[in-house]
Amino acid sequence: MLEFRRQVLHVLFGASAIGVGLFFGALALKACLFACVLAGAALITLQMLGVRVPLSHRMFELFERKTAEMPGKGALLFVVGTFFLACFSPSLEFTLAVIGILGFGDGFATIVGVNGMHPLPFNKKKSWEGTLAFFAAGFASSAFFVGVPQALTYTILLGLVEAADSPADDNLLIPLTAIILKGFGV
Amino acid sequence: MLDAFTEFAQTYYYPLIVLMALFGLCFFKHKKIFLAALFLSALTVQAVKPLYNEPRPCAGAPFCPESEGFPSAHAAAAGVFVIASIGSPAFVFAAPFSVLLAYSRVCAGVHSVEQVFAGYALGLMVYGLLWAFLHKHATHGLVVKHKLLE
Repeated sequence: MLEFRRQVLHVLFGASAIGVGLFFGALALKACLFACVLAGAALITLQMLGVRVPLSHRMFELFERKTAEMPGKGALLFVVGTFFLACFSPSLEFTLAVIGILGFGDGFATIVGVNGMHPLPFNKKKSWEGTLAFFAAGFASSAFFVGVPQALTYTILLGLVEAADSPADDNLLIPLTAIILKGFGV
Repeated sequence: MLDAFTEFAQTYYYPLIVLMALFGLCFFKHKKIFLAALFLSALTVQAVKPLYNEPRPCAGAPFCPESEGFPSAHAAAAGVFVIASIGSPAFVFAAPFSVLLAYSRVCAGVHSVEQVFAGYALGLMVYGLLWAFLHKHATHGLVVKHKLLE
């Protein structure tokens, strides 16, 4: 249930970021994400120092794993990754497409994947069901912005990053990989 | 006062980085990650600038630095500074200082807002990647032996 709640929030944040980008433009998206990073960092710091801010404390209780290295780690890294993507992306459409892959693809991958019965051969922690959910949700959300060929390419490539046993965090690696791939003209 | 700070940040970039490093060593939770990220973000900025090859808003003006504008190196240091301060009381100083440092670059006319945002994001990303990588390998011999998470 905790994972489900976390991923619903993940998907909702991705959708909100897409909404801000669509309705207010690239600069507004970057400014919002910048503000979110600072606000999130402040709330996390207060939580870690034992200062109980009622609403945020409740959010941490509802959405954070007990084993997390830092409260709000996943959310903060998601915002950082999205902010990085928005700043280094060549176009708003590409930004929104990758946010769709990261938000919807990664979100649904976990929602479906936690109940998966068929582990991946190269990463036993992840399942075929989750990976296919990533492809479906990621492709569907990104194709709106960049068209079918590019959406398919990026969903597959970023899906491989997501499925692999990554050395860091997917919320950072997926945007970074997308920017690097774009830089190489993919 | 903003003008004085802007002038200081522009003229004394390297001493400012040293001061920020010393501050972090005194007050931040993950000192080694902070120092490594500060160094790596500076290197990464210099590597990325020629790739984007975006001019500064002041290009051609006598006061304008010769390097490209995207992303801002000062803002990258500011990004590392603020994310490294998370969890420590020093965040109260680090956060507004980092915003001021980034903003001063726009005030000085040497960077656009987008260039400063990009620098800030790069600093956050570099630190985030290092932090996440080391935490994922927290029990690895090298991490434990060299106390890299301290």
